[in-house]
Amino acid sequence: MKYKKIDDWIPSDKLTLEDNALTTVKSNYNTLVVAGPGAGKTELLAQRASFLLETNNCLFPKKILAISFKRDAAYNLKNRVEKRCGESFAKRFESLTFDAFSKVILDRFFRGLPKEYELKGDYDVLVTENSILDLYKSFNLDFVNSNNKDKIYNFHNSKLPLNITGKENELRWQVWQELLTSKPSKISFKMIMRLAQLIIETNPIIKRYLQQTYSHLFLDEFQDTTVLQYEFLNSCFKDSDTIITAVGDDKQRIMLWAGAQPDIFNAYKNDYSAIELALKMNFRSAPRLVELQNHLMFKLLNKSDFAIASDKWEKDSGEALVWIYDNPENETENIFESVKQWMLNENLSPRDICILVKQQLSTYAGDLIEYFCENGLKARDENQLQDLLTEDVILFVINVISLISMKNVQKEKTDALNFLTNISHVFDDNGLLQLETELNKFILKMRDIIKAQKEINIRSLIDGIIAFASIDRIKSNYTNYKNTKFLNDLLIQLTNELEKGLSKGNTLTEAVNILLGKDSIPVMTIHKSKGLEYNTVIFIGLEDGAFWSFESQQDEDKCAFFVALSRAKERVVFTFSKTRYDKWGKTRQQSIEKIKVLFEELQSSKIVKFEVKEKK
Amino acid sequence: MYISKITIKGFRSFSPEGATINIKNKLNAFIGLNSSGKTAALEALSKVFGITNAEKEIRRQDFHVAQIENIDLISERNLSIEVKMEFDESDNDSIPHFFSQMVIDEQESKPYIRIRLESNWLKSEYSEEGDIETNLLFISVPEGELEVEESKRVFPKHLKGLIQVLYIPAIRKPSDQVKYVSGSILYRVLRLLNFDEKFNIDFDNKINEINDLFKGLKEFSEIQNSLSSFWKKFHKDERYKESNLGFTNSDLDSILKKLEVSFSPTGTHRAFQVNDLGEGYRSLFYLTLVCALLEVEEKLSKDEDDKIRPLLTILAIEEPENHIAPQLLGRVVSILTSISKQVKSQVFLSSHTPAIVKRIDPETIYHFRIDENYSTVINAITLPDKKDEAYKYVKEAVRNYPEIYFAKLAIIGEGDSEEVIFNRLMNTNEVDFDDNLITFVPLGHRFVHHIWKLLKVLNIPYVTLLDLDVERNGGGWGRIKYILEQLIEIGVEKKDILSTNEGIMSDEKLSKMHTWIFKDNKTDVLLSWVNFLEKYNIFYSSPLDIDFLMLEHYTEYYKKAIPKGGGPQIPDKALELAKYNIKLNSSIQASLKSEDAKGLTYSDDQKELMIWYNYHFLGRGKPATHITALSAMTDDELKKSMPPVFERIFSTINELLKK
Repeated sequence: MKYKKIDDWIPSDKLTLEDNALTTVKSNYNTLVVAGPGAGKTELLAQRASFLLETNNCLFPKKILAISFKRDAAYNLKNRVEKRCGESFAKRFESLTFDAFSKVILDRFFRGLPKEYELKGDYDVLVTENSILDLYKSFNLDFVNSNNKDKIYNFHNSKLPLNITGKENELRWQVWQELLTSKPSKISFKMIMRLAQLIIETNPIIKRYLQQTYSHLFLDEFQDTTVLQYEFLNSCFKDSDTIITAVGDDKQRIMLWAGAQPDIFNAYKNDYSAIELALKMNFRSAPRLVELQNHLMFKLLNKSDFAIASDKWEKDSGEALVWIYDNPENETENIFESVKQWMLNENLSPRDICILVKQQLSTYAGDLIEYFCENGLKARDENQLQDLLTEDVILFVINVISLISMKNVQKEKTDALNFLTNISHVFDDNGLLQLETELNKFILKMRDIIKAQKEINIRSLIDGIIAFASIDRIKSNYTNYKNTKFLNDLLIQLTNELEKGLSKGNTLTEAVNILLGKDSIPVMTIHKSKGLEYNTVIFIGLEDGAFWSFESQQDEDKCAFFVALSRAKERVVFTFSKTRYDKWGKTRQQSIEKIKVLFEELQSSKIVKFEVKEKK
Repeated sequence: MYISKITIKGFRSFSPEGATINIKNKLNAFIGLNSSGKTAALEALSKVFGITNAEKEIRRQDFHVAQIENIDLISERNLSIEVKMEFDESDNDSIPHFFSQMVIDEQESKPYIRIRLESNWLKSEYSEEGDIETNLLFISVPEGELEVEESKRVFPKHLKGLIQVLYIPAIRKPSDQVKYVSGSILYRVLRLLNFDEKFNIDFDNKINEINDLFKGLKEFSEIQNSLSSFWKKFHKDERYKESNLGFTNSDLDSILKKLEVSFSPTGTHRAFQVNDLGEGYRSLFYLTLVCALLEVEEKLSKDEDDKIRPLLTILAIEEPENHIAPQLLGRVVSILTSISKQVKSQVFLSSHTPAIVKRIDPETIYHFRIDENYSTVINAITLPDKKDEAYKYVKEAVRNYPEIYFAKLAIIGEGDSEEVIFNRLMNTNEVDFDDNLITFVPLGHRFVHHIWKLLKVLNIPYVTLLDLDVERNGGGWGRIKYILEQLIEIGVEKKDILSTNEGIMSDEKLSKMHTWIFKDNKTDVLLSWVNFLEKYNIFYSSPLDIDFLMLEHYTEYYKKAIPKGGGPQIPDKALELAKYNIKLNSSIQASLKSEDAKGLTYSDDQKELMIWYNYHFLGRGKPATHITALSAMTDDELKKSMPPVFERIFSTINELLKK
């Protein structure tokens, strides 16, 4: 393999990068890249990886470590890097989530923990923290009653080593001991991260080896980094030679409630002497929407790093609307008609449209979903199924069901085989071939079984697929599935969803499509919409009621508003209804007193069209 | 990075339970008798890290079959070879490659990786070889931790080659290694050449020059022309219509294949090729090649370019002593030592000659033997703690008596006299010193238990012969006490050796044993202890030492073993009694090494002999005296007066050898 000279390097696949992007790509110092919505963060990181590897700036055999928040983001980044610089270079690019990174440290170096943290056997991962709270309750009910839940969790997950002076510390020690000494030990992902941090801090050799291995570190969605994660990073990389590229957008900082460290940008700039570089391009939204985003960003968030729309758009494309209704019924009917028109006239598919709410999805959009479905446009709550549909084992089962119910589906087959190869650790050609043959045989067998059944028995179908992949293998590769109840609940949920789909007289293929929402309009909360993009975004309920905490957390709510707006490529609609039902079905008058500033700025932008929708 | 442990199971002479070698050094020696598994251990390394497929292939005969098994009834077999590797903290080249596979044993210990070759053999209906499936894996849990399927990851292809074994078999053919064929040393060196554009152009030009030169020959162009014209007649295809006779660029490889090493001046008219060298020089040249390769690789790796070179070259060399004159062995060991000192190399050698062993640090030596089940057992010698003064002593002892490793039985004795005497006695008693590989080890004062432990680890039976030194300072009871204490050191139960009529002797009583006296100047009680200790294969030269014992039993021969006109000046007892007594007393004092010595427990004859003892063994070289005296005896004469203790020793030796 030949390396390129730094000056000879041009962005891979002949893409053009804006100035600051190119500066970031070629930098040899710590950077904080402020990248607004649609700035192409994944591409930026992929190009940087490409540069570092192709020019040997990431000196062979050192590696790049990229840390993302979600598994699919980590996976997408790795794929993009492979595409940009080839598989061979990409071997030195490791893309992980925060949880996965801390877990591999713990799993390989757990024996480096101080004696009192010794893990018993093959530990179980606690998927939720409820049982931790229960322990605090059982040891000291008063403590739990006199503190709020978040405070207790934060206290539980604060930095190790455990301190045992004082009553509260003693309690924490008791709970940790109880969890660690259970057989097997029971620990949450947050505890895993603290333990991994403890390993790094008490084993200088491991820390040195870690820093020697990763000469470059990428941090994605940096604005959402939690206090815990940031402290863990500091333990691993503070004062090292590792060069960090952190990419984030403080305009989209809406995860404070989940423990994100406030003021993380400044902390990082101070701690790592990082240079801030802002990306200007917005490849996602049409020019008028970009203009609106700039306006609101300046007025609401006091930021002046204006974005520039890509020149692939016509100059005046993009529209922003505020629709005002008397009541939610009018709102629902009107939205339904408009969506139907758009789909027809502009040839949009259901997946091009997204309906957003701030929170309480069923309150704000429950009736709407029902109405849409009754009138022949499928819509559904993505929140409900998102947890289910991001589980690897569920996706595998669905892929295999698709293979059984349909012929000639390639992507599903590739994905199913990938899952099988991963859990069975087969990598040579012969093994792969054998695996594929076995899968084909299994599919034929299942087809026969289904044909013989009067009514498809979904549960036994799913069980058959799980048995084929071997439950032990699945469990040994996915620690969270070792929790049998958790895995079982997932499979029951999947069974129920598919049975629901079938009960309407649908075929198996249709039931799968319903589950995957292939022909449904997605409805979700702003938080779930992070990182996604749609042609048209309809935000329901730009009202005081939805922004009930606006006064106390203006910044976060303004960011949420900004996130909603910036999901749209061509069209964004905000609705206001003068009345709204609360979660007990009571009619409430709605005002815009508290969030007046949002309306004012929408108006002052002169981009947004306000329409009062009277009932026809 | 370097290998810190090798565990071999089910491979050749290694049983399924296997054997483990803990490695602390860069140069390591596997020693032991023929067929003890040394070569298997070296080849195990090349199965894991070999370069060519032939080196790596696992075949049916590589699977261990126990002595008692019927080979036809076996339907499945497994073998595994695991290598544990650690890293120097500054090893920037290796750590990044392997960090994601590292595990750790305890807090602040060194992270390490585990690489394991696993192979499975299944009886097959179709092929006599059976079905063999071999995998090279990373094991990503620490040793001793339960392994699940997930803990095993396939060793990725792109990391292969980072660790390479250069296996040098006992039969060395350097000519194979100086050929440009895949896997050879020369190939590995030449791979480092950078054929840049300019070189290729220049090369083409030179080839054209050569072609022109040939074309200038009238006959050559004739051949070319007729070849072309015939070809065109028979061949109508547009493709390949031109046929040219000449050298082409693709010949770079074939030219490299012609590359040879030659030696001059030779004293003859032509240069010598490798095969023209004598066997010894061939062997040395082979090692030279390895040295050169490692050095060139090290040098070139510092240049900035993108060729990937091994992070560790493991030199596995079988019997470096082969074909090499003993006086050159020192040089061989120093070459190997210098190879091992290269950052990226580690050396493993096998040997069964003391000549190599004595030149190697005992701590790097691993002793191979075959146990009663015909499986290999490997032991490193156990040295006393480094702070202990015994450490130096034992280390020197094994360095100076390297034969110990190859012995079937060891005799531990006080010194040179014992060695000389036993050499002769062996022959007389029809126990062949050489055939049975009996070796003599000196008894270190205060340290004998270390030697016992060492021999026990190596599974070598031993007898111990020491002086009783009655009436010498620290002698007599002191010698018994010493041995009792040493026996306790190696774990003999007190109740077995300290039982007396009054129960088990207290520690306090034992600690004072050396002060015990001889009641009525009788040594019976002492001798009963001596007798008792023979149960533990411990014998005493009684009452004084082996020299005195020999003198007592072969008095006449020793009295004759004097140079002409030599011998002690003994005043005539009848004529000059006073003078005689003075001589006698001074001899007793000298022999018993004390001015107060009276020799109360010795008979008059024995006392008189002390004059001779004094003359022969205190004044002159002891071994010389013994050699002279012994050479004057026939075997029969020797046997006739044999001290009974020797007879008992020999019957013990014979018993031990039979086992």
